Amino acid sequence: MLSGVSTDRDGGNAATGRFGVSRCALEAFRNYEELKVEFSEGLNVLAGPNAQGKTNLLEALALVSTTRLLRGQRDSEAILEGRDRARVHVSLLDGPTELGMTIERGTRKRALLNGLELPRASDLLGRLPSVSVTSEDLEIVRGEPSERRLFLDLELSSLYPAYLRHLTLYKRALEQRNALLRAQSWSAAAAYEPWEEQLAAHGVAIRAQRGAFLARLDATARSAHDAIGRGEHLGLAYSPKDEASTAETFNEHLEQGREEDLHRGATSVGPHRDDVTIDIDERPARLFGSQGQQRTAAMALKLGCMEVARDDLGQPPMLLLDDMLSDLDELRRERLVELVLSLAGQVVLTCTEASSAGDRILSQARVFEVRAGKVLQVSA
Amino acid sequence: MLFARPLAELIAELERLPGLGPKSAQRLAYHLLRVPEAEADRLAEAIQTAKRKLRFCDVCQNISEAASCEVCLDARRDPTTICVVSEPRDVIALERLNEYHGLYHVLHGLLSPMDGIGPEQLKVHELVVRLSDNVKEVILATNPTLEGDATALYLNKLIGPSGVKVTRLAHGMPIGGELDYADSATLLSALEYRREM
Ligand SMILES: [Zn+2]
Repeated sequence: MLSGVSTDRDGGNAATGRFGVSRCALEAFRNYEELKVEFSEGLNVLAGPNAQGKTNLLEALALVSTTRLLRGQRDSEAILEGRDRARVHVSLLDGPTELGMTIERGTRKRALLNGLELPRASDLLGRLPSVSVTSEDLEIVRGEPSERRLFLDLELSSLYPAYLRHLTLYKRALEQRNALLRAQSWSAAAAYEPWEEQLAAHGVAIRAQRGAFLARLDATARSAHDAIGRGEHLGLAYSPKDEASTAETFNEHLEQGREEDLHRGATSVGPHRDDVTIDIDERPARLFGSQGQQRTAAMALKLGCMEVARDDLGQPPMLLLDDMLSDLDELRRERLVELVLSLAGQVVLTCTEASSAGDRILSQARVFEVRAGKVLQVSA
Repeated sequence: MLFARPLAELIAELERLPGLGPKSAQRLAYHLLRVPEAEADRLAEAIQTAKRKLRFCDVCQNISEAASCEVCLDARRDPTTICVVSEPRDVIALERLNEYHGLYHVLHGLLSPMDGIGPEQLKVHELVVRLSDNVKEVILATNPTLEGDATALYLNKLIGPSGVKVTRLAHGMPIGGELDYADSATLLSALEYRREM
């Protein structure tokens, strides 16, 4: 976050004041040979049996928003079998802006803005902010610390390009220092200093942004959890592995750790080792939560992100909900619907039966039926 | 697939060139087999001549025909300023401007432990030796990448104590570029180094 500098975002939402997609066209993406869909600027329901392509369509939207596939797979896996390239193309709700992403076998993916290629795929970030809620999110609560770091890195990168830059440079500096540790031939302090100085600068920035984000997420995810949970108390906190919070202390820790790091062949100080504590009623959800509790906590995390993002952007990001309604009992489903409606941005949700979305959603939603790679609009 | 031995050797040599994978090495080898003999001879000769006639300048380490390069020999140039770059092509880019009248120093690479490149693999020692020669300013013009910055930090620490003024090239928006299409990294650095008007 750059204090005192407001981000000019009129490339994204000037005309309608909304983040979202009006039209989406797919080519050789997953199971879609070719597809064109027109979304409503409010609620959209994709209904149909499993493995027919609902999530694939959701994933295409996530791809142009985040440059990543939903399930963390390699990009080439999204290309239809027997084809060389997959294309996703969307028109934003504001009318003139068009975003595209092309994935080609054997080369890196390319991002397009109004038909012109951007220098890097990551330069697409921030143009179509979104939050996705899927069953994979369970890993954030249940999985290794690396899952939680990845969650933070993805959310922060899509909101703040500066964070992504710190992260990219930090990771590379880390590789360079680790290479130095393993080579053991230039043991002079002078060889370490340039890399440690950059690790410290970027590492401190990463920790500060992660910490600030989690402090806000703690509040927003808690209120989401209050709505969809069972009266339990959700608590989040950033949990650094060491106390290096200024560039000076970070540098000192690195310097003092060189000897030990030489034995390990890896760097022991820094945000690449940090974690997030997720507690339910003050006990670690990862260890003590039931699968149901973990699911609810994961969903609350993502809905909390939604509110933090809305706060920063001035408008709600696009919300992608993958088959989230079936997990909940009726009361909590209603509360989730309430929450989603109160967020009032563009929502695309999938479910096996349109009726499971409930009348409150169906009365306002554009409903699509998805079957065998065909998408049929069945309501206005 | 088995290649005739001379062909296999040609492909193997081409593959060692930077930026050429096995496929493009093969394509190039087949192309060379098809060109007239005189053309192939000219290429071989050009490589040999360049290799024999060119060397590194004893002073600035740039590519040169003689022990000292034209820039280093030019009495009109200001010997108190040295601009440090990573590659010979960076000298050409700066010379094109016809604005800089100091001397150069070519490192021939950037620090990168991942690639086995430390200070000893670069022309760092040769730079330090030059500093005693009444040098007043060293301009660090390495690329604004992680490795370019690390190399600049390293050199700054090395040169700083000698009392020579050390400066670094500024970086920011490309002139005439559109904000919306700039890569975020460039935009961020332009924002970070913004100046008062
Ligand atoms: Zn010279």
